[in-house]
Amino acid sequence: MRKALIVLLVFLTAFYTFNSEEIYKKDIRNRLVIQGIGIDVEDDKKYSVTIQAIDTNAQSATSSDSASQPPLKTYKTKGDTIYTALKSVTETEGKIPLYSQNRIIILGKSITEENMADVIDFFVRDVENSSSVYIAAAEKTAGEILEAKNGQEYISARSIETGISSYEYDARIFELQLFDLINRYNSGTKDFAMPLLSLKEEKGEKSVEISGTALFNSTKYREKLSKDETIYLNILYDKLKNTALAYDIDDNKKVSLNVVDSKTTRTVKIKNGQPVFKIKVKMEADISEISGGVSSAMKSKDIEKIALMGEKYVEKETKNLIYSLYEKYNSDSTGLGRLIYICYKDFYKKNEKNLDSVLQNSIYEVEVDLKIRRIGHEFIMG
Amino acid sequence: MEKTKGKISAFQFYVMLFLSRTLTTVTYLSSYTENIRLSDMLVQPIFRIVIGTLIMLPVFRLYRKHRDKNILELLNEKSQTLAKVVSILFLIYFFYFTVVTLARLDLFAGTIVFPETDVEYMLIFAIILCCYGAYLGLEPLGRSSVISSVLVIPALIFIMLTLVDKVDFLNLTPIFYNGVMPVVRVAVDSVGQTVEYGIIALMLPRVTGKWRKGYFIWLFSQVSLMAIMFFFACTVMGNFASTQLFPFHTMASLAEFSMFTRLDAIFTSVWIMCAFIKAGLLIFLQTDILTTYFGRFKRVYYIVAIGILTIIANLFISQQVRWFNIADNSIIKIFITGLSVFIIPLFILITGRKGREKCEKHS
Repeated sequence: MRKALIVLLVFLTAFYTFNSEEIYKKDIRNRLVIQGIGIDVEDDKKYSVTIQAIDTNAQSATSSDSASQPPLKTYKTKGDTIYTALKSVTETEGKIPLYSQNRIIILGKSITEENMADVIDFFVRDVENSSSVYIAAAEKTAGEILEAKNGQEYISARSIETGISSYEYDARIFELQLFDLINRYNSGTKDFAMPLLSLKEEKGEKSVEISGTALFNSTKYREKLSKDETIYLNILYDKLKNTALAYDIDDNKKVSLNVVDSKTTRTVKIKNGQPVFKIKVKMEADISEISGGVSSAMKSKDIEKIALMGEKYVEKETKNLIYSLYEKYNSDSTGLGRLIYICYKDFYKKNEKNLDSVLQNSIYEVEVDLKIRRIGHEFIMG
Repeated sequence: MEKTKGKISAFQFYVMLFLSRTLTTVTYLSSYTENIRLSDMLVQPIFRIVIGTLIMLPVFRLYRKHRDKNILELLNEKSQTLAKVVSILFLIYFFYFTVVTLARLDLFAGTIVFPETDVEYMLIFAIILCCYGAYLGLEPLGRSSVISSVLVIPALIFIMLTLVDKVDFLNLTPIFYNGVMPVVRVAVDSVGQTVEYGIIALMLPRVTGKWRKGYFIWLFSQVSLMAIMFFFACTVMGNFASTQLFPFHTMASLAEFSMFTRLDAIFTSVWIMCAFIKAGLLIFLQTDILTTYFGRFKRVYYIVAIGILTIIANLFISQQVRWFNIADNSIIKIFITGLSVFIIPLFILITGRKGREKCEKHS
């Protein structure tokens, strides 16, 4: 029995391994290793898909080079659906697309300002797409971002991805991954936001910049938040991990803090038929800089004052953002409306259809607790 | 023959069943729960404990009286024909679950792991290995389970720990948003998917040690594992989970630890290990029934026959996804589980009592 089994398994393995079709698919030179996908809609309502991929032919020719960035190539295709557009790359290049290495999906203005729902399905359905791939919106077209060259080299999708993933070190950057986009889109109770990319050109040098955050209402682009506003959006999302904060402490003095930790708790209570949201922010920060010359020593009351002013500053800016989100832009991208859904399902059921106006008329209380952890090299007195 | 008649310790037996049920949990399909909200899946296990306890009461009562004979042997004492009919029912029951288990593996491999590759070879490969596991017998399967559990349980804990950072309580949903009944229905479906109740019903006389205590530890641990996995799936992925064919695999693909980002590979290995144990055990049981009640040939011939039938059935299902949907039917599972695990033992209990009463009257 054992011998027969071994012979059978060896035969099956050999047959499977040396199947010519499988060998063709597994050879990296026959694959188009996609690094970034940009989607736009043309005037004729067809999808224009821009693909940035590793040039595997050039890669194998220059494999001995020590260059850190692999040679890239871009392709532009058109189709009635995203899938047909992507599939037509094979016709032009003769290679099978490999999506698993895709770093980013960029959606052009023509997509984000219309109904984004049409493009989502492909990325959910196609199993090769990673669920954690980053999603970003382009200020103009997605194609121009992926086709941009700095000198002779393309600006790589990988570097854009690295920029977005640095949100952990700089809360002025917002991040959204595919799975969270779908989660928010499907929940019906949360809007979403995503990083906004723009192409800059200075003295003939091109660069891709994360210029802020694109705010959405349902599936349509609503407004751009500045990078500074993005910090408070990250606070409301409880995503802030590290950022720089600068604010006035006196007429001529500005303090810069390096926020090293932050935790936001969001609660809701219904009082007199009106939701009252309590947003508590606990922050820890180090003093990085105080303008106006070097002081000989800091006193405890100075540190207390800096912390107090910081608390007031963060509180004010967070409230401003909440006002902008709910009064001006009508976007519940922070998901506070979902708190009502979770905690007060009967109230939610009653007000499901006019949730936007409920959120506009809600009370938002923000409480910030800022602790100064370190003050740098300076000495403390008293 | 010695191998088939061997006994197994309660520890090995329930570890084997734990891995077997873990496979059903990790291969959970989101289509089963389309009528309830995500957080309902966190309370659904409570109903499962209740149903899981109630459904096994006749079996426990039966084996308390007759510790050394299984359901089929007890029926054989009453009527050989009846015993043969019920043994065919158990054969169908276990064969059906073997096919469905491997069909899920095929669907997973064909859709997620090798979407561009024909997975028929892999499927045949897997079935041959499971047949070999069944050939080795109960004790080697039990020992392999204990060794596998040392890898499977820490792997699952590790994956979940790496997801702690991604937990967002805003992804939870109100409990019983659509009422209690849809949640109970899902719990009943879930019990129907648990072929392990059938295995326990047939195999308890072979289990040595604290079999009743072991059952409750098994029930509680597999239900807890499910609740914990659902907690992470709900809070990490939110509604994205319901868009995924195999949500727990997607959840594992989101997990990352330091520079390691493809933890779904660990998940896949857990899956394959559990599939080997489960299908191996089910094929062993089918062979055991065949040799005991229809035994004219050597055991190995029955294993080969079951293997070939399983391959044919799975290759047929593998052709179209709608065949999988038809095969993986909740109603069939609930019916066959209810009949084999609850109705038949209850019937033996009732007829046994009536027989005793008749005897007493007669004497």
